Amino acid sequence: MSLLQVESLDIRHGQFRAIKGLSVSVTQGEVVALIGANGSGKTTLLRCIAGAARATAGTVHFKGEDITALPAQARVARGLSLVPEGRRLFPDMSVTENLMLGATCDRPGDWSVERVLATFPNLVKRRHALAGALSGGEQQATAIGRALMANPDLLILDEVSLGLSPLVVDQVYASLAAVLTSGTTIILVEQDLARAMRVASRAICLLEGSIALDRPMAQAPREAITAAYFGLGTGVRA
Amino acid sequence: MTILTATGIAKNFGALCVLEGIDVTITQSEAIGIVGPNGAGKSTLMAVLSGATAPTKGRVHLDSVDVTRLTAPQRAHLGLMRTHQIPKPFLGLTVFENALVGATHAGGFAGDAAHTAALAAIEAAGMTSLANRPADSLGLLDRKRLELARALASRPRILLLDEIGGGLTDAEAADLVHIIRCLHGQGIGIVWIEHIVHILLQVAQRLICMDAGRIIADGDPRAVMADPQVMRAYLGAVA
Repeated sequence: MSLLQVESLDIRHGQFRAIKGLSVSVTQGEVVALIGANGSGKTTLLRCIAGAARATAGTVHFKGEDITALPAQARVARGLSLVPEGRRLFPDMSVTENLMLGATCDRPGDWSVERVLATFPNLVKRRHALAGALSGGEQQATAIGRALMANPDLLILDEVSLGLSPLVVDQVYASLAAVLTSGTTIILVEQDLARAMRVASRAICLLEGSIALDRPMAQAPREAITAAYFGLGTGVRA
Repeated sequence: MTILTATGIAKNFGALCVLEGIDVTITQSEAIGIVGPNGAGKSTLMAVLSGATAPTKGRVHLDSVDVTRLTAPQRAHLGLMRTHQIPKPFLGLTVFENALVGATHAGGFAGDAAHTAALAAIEAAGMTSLANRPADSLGLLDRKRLELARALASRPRILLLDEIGGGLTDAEAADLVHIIRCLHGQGIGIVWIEHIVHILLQVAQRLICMDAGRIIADGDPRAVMADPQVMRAYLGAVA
């Protein structure tokens, strides 16, 4: 049975139709790379799944329950956590306090401040620092840690690498490796295709609000993903 | 034959260098597409070419005239017009009145000549049946068409289009491609920034790819899209 089921989803920003009748389902344990050009609807789709954006039409089911009308915090309480683009930490609170906020939904599980610090060792010395004073990599680690503190069944990572130097991106992924292989279901947005192909088990390409490609990563060569990304070639348009 | 030339263009916003070392020559006979990932500097280049913003370094020439210090309205009088990524119609005016503003203020037409230019522009943009509709009642596609009509009413020689294809359905995009092809066929030079590559490739005879404030590829569209440097700019290096 699918963990997440999105059915005929439509999302509009005013007159702009950002997501056009999109349907997709994600099964327990998958690591899905969501790939697409700027403006293709990745962030809008993820925000809608997480409850941060409203669907104009269509439904989102999580573990069989219709969550379309639920607010974001109710979705977190059901095990669906988003690491938003731009991290969105509370800058005047410490790393630990930001992490503790992730645990306020009180879901059972193994994640604790100590385990987050063990997973992201770059945060150990910074645990009492204000989030606003952190480097980009430390902020991303804190944002991921905050999401993990809710012990999510589905972890959504939007733009993992955005604004980080290549070295720092390597560090974040090195820390994420344990999470990626832990069986947690993950949807992530990563602009670096080679990296997305390494870490994900499935590729979904968005093109102007629709799915242009959806395949197991092993059957999605770089050429096919590139064609879908730009809307080129035949048979790639959904 | 009008030629738009930008030489040694740089643009800084504070410490942020948005454009660096841009050299580009555009002739009236061309239909040029400009692509590039987010933050590449495409819209800033368009603003520098159209006169909306002054470059930190470099010169812009229209024919042999140095227009670097001329404002956008002054460049419009010389035949260089742009449309905006987010349509900016005069909401309280009708479609015809919006086009008339383009004909009179940007095109320098008066009286019957202005009316003729406005009507022709509305027709070229496929909006004749909407001529008396207030702009604030238009949907997204029609607002984009109106951007085009208002620019056309000035009878430009070179038209700069900023992401006019976003948010359209396939059928609407096909309409837009047809309109822009017709304009190019009438001898208007087209410079079109668009992130929807497959729409752009139906019009562009030449493609420029920008990344991090620089031009990284310039030439035949298929060759540019196959350029490893272009692929790297969008999707990272091949592992």
